[in-house]
Amino acid sequence: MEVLLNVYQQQRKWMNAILGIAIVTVFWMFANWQVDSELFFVGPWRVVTYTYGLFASGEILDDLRISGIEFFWGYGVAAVAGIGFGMVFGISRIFREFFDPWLSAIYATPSVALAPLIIIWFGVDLTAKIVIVLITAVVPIVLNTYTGVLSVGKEFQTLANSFCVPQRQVLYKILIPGSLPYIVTGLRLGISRGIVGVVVGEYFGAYAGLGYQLFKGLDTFNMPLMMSCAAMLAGTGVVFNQVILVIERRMAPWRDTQLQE
Amino acid sequence: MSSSIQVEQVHKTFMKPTGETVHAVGGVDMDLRPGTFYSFVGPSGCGKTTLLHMIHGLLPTTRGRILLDGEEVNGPTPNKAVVFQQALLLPWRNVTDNIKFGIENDRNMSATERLEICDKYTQIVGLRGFESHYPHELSGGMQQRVNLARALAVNPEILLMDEPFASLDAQTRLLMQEELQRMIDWKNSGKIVVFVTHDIEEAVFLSDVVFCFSFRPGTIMKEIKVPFPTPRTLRVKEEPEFLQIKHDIWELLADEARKAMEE
Amino acid sequence: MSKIQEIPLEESQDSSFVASVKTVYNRHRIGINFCLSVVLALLTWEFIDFVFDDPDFFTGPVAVIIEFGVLIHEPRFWENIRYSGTELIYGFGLAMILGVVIGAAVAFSRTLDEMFSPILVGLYATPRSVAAPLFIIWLGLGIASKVGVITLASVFPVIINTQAGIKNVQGEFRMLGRAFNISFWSMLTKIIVPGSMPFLIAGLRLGYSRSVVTIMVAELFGAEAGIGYMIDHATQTFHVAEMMVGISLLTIMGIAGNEILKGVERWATPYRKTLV
Ligand SMILES: Nc1ncnc2c1ncn2[C@@H]1O[C@H](COP(=O)(O)OP(=O)(O)OP(=O)(O)O)[C@@H](O)[C@H]1O
Ligand SMILES: [Mg+2]
Repeated sequence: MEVLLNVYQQQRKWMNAILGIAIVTVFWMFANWQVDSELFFVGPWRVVTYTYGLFASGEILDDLRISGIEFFWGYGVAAVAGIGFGMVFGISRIFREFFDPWLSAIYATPSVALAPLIIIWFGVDLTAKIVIVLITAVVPIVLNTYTGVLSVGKEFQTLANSFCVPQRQVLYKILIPGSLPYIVTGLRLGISRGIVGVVVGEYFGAYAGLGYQLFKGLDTFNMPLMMSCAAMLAGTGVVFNQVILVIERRMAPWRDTQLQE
Repeated sequence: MSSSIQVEQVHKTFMKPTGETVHAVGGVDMDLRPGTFYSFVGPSGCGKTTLLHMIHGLLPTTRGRILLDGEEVNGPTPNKAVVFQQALLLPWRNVTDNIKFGIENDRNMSATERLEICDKYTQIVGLRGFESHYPHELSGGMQQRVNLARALAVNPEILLMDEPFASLDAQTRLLMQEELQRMIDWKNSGKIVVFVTHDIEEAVFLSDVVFCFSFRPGTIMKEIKVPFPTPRTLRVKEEPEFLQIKHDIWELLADEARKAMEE
Repeated sequence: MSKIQEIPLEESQDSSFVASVKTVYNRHRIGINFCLSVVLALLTWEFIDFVFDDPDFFTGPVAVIIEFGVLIHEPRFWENIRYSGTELIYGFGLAMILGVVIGAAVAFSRTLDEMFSPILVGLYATPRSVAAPLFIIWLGLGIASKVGVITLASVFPVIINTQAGIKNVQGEFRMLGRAFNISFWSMLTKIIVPGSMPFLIAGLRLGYSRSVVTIMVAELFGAEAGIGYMIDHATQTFHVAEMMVGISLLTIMGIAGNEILKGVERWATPYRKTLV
């Protein structure tokens, strides 16, 4: 008994994390057992086997490919453009004063609401969906980069100035590393928004994609399909988020880790 | 080549965003000659840092002008370097890379030469073994020593130091005072050194000339020459003449300090 | 050098018209730039409309306002606003309460923190509004399912920020409280609540913006009424002006709520500069 307690004390962080997941899973299974109707609810095991089935039969692969393309292009462009514009807004006083009111408006605007307009302008093909992902994901990236640049203290500018560092170098020696934590937060927030963008984009006319399957599941009352798609979308979010965190830890070893936004 | 600096009737007035103004420096004249070590002492808030930054070219003067070899200073140049009052280390650079900051753009230096210089000054400020530490992993005094090494690494003709030893412990401080003289060797290299400190003994020990500042708006109350030959050893501090100079400055500043406290 | 302005050596003696315009501009430059940027944006918007000249494709601000004037006479329009407004109030209200309670629970209990924080942080990274169709099956096409999705989508920023805020002050000031021998209750009211307020409000602002987005997403998956429903309907019938009215309404909701929360932030934490 004492030995067990000791092990628990030493490893309590991991043990508790596993315990937490176990509690949620058991709760989920219990709910499933109570409801006992696949029309309304599906247990965790069924989600896993159903997802496996989708992969084994290969029927989901095309959807994954389509959604993947939409996400990668949309998010990729959003990352580059978002960081670029955020930097410009932060650095240039004219831009800042001119666009600052817009930035706080953009912060408050539900950018997915623009999705139907994009569809009307670009048609229902891939480009439209990429643009939708782009506009949904870009907002937090721009805003956080902008805040990040402003958060880099003026005294570091003075320092660079004092050692005669050329303005061009100030960008990559001071401003980019100084705002990196904010940029990373923006990139992380952009992921889940981009995924919502994928789903919304596919609502307006699509013939494949995870979002499309989600809507198909709703139309055909196929609960396992819906839960499986939702789980895959959620899982993608978690995985990409972790990837960015790992990259950050590699690139920014000077930071006190474990910060949340 | 050695340079000289003339400070002519320099004033500095700050305006706060509220519109309130602060007259920080009020008409300073000085003539800084090569191969000389100068100290600024004076009550807190009397404009020492402000004057130092104006000499460096980081701040414009409100009135008057500062000449470096006959030409008006209008911005930092590579022949000047400053040790800031706050360490101002880049949090994303380790000790070596922070020290390297000022010499990265020197095209006459190869990468290995730069590393050698960093290495040398890391050793001098006693941070051997901490090369790859980041600023948040260093103590306040260690950060301050990186700040010092960063400016020394530039090997400037004009070295401006703003309370570089303020956060060191008393023993390290004494050692650094002796070390600093050997490190800079201003007599032979014709450098100008300006050193701001609150420690009168330190000022007298290190300097050829001590400038005593009045309370805000800061002006020079007295310019005191220290006759002992350099480099000095700590034993100088016990000589009667040294104690006399120290005592005179103390008397002079005590009144000003009282004014500063009453403000 | 940042916030100080240098006092000019001598006031500009140039009394020409250009010079006086310049002085006025410099004095009010932030306000003037703001107005300029708004006017310029509206003009650009109207100009694009003028170039395309195709109301099935694009409509300018004038057309949107005219459409708005038409729509306010339709009871259906007000029904949509009422519907979405109700979703937002219940959904975000629930998210606020649950978020603060759960956030405080995981901040105060180490065991709960270790058990559930990994799950909470994981869920925070997921696109939660994709659960909308599940809620429609569980709770029907009406308001209840939307409230559920909105709560789910916006509760996590509130939880995470509440927790971070409390942990932050606890870390900094627990020693202070101990040193002055302060009771738990005073600790809570004098240190923890005010100290974590900036974080909490930042979380509320993030959560609120999620709520407004989720109105749109949730109603797409099926609704009886609402602004998202209205936009969707207008899209199917290629009625661009009505779409734009809907989008503007959601934007106004977003901006209004955000401004209110900013006001609360200024009122509750006068000692802090705003943080995004
Ligand atoms: N950027 C600024 N804006 C407004 N006032 C300033 C600014 N910088 C300095 N001052 C004011 O100018 C005066 C002189 O400041 P300075 O930093 O030069 O003092 P100091 O002599 O270096 O003091 P200390 O010994 O405490 O470092 C102070 O009263 C300070 O309040
Ligand atoms: Mg100072």
